[in-house]
Amino acid sequence: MTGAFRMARLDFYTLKHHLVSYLSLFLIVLLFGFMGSSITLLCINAAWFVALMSSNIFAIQEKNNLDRLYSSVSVGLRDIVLGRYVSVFLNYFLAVVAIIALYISFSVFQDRTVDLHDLLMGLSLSFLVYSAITGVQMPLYFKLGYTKARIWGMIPFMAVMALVALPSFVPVLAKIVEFMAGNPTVLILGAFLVGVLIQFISYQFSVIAYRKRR
Amino acid sequence: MTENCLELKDVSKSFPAFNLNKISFTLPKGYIMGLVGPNGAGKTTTIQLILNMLEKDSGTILVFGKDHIKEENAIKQDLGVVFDSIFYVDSWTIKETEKAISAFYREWDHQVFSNMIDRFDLPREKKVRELSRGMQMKLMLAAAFSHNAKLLLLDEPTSGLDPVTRSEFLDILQEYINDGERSVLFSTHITTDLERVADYITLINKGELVYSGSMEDLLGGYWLIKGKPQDLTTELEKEIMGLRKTEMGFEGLIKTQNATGYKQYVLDKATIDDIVVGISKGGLKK
Repeated sequence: MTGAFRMARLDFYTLKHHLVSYLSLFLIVLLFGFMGSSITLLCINAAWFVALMSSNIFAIQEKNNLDRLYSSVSVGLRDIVLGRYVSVFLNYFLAVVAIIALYISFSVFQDRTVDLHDLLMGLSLSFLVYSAITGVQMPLYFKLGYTKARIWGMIPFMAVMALVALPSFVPVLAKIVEFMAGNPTVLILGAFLVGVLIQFISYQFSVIAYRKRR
Repeated sequence: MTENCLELKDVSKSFPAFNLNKISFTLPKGYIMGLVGPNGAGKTTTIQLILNMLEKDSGTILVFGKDHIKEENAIKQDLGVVFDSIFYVDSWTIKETEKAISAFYREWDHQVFSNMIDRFDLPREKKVRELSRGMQMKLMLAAAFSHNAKLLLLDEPTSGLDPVTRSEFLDILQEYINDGERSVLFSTHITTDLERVADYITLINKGELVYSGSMEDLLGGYWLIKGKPQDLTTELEKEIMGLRKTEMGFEGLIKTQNATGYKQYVLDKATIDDIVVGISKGGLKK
């Protein structure tokens, strides 16, 4: 586990000079927040954005031969993969925390109340979106590397968009969405649990993929 | 406690277009071993197998007497690696490089790193991509020395370096093994470098081990024989390895024990280059 945190730390240093791109996320939040968008929507946007940015680390890894660095330092393969999951999750977590902080500041400034229920809904749904997209992307990047996987890496984004649109065409799904909307607590817990499960399965696939790539 | 720093026994790895076949060699503690062979011989594959960057198909690899997979993390605390191109993030400065990699090593010594940077005259404020190739090599070496690595694995570190930097690089390696506790495995196709620093040579060709032993035995075992076209008899032709014939004459390698009957020919001491050329053209004759 210590090795994984060391790898996550290494990822932070690797991305250090690219973190400025996250400022664009905050500009979007400022704009949407000012326009009065819901916190749920803002959190989902953050998840979408972080998932989109998560390929950066793989691009830098490939460009700079970092596989050689990873194989020279005192860390096992599982920790290399786990470290990547930790670092991408931390990016997501910090982005969401920053967005919530900004949103609350806006709300205080505009004399609006912050609904705790909406906040939890935003957190859980954004985590589900983040998990679904990165959960598919990461094994692909570990298996194929950035250049070969970047086109395939777009598939989960399209799949999530399709899933959002699907209930309009499939009555059964529409009923599930209706049920979820009527039981927000189930939705919040369910989204968290499914998100965790996706990340766990994705990690196992990434370990196998990275081992095979060797 | 083993006296061998590195032991490979019957290590094999298959690829669709290339096979590394039953490579065995031993590097004793306190020595430099050159890993030589033509391009595509399997030198980099061998180093990648030692580092567990590639999974071997069969055989055993022991580093400091320990299995290189079961005790990978412990082994890598004492391993320094230098590849032919730098593997640090190009936007890092030297200071950031130290911050990024020092956390992985228990014995990282900031003072040693700082001293090495000063000694190598590396500009701390410059980014990795702004360093010359020679400086990048020195940065990788500085990192390897700063965690007190007991074994250095060098994969073509001197290719593309100018002669002055190469000479300096070799001096550093000799100094590094001075205490008798450290060893170097040095893969290169610039064999003149090895003639200066290596104690042992391992020769690989087309994935097959051709020779592994002391430098003296290798160089003492062969002569470069030259003569006019009419002097090349059928019998002599059978003895020669890597025979090159021109209108002016012929040239090739001959084993020392076979050379005694050909004193009337021009016999020069063979260099590692001559031997590598000889084996790549047909293999060393038993």
